[in-house]
Amino acid sequence: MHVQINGKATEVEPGMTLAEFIAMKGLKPESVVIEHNGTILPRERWRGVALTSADQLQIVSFVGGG
Amino acid sequence: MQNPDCDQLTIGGCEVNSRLFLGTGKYSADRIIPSVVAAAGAQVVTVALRRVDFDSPQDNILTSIPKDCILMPNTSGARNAAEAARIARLARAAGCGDWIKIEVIADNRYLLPDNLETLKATEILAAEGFIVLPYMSPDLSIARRLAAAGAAAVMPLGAPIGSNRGLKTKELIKILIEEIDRPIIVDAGIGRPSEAAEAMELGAAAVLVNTAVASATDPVGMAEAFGLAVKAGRKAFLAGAGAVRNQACASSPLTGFLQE
Repeated sequence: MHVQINGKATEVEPGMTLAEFIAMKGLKPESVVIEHNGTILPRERWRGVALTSADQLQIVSFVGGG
Repeated sequence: MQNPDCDQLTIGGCEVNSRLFLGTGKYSADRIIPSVVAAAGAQVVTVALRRVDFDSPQDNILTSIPKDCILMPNTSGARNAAEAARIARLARAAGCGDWIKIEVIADNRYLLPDNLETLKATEILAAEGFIVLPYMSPDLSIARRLAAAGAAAVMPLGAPIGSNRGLKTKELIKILIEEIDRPIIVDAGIGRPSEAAEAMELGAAAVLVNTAVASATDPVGMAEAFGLAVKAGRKAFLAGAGAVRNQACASSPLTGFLQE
């Protein structure tokens, strides 16, 4: 199954939750923010959200900037 | 004259103990940032928000920023007020506070801010409880509107971002300092400690510096130099500079010369 993540079609196992996706990518949950179909999802809800092929995700983090 | 002992900068209800704000972009390695922040004596530190690149994951910048710093995410990348508001909300969801530097830019050559969209973003985000610090082209009417919209401070540019050209907008910044009842923070363009000192002598509440430090041969040394310059400039402002005259005015007595 493909999910749009940060503007790219990304292969994801069907049924995978957001929390599992973040863990699979080796990201620390506290270091990223997720916008799920235009809505910011608090971290405590990531476990309850299973990804679908219709989903659009933005996963962002802080970087150096002025 | 203000009492230097009570010279506290307060922004959005927060007491800020350093008038040098520091950006964290463009360093050769994030690991030098703690030393840079310490050498500058900075407390307010800016960061940007970007998509995670899963193909080349980067270290978390937050691990390089001392825990006692106030984090001021910027909305760089926003081309209009709606995009700035979206970035601000994402930044706040990271759980690092309510400060936001609004940066709305639609000009890629000079990176000059879009004052109108910046004002709209300020209205939206101040109403949502953010501590809003808009980066703007120095213009009195817009600055008044930003203050009325709830901006916690107003941040005029000295010169284009990253140009290290100094206080090219000095006369306009002076007007904002005189007329606007908010801290005026000179953001962008300052390239030398002497220019930071000059901004502070004019009465700026603070300066925000990034490229000048990050692009120095020795960023830690330059950070320290900026810290000293900002303190010197502030002290000079509080001390009140003497009048400027067109003609000489002798410093030594004009009586008791040997030839009299």
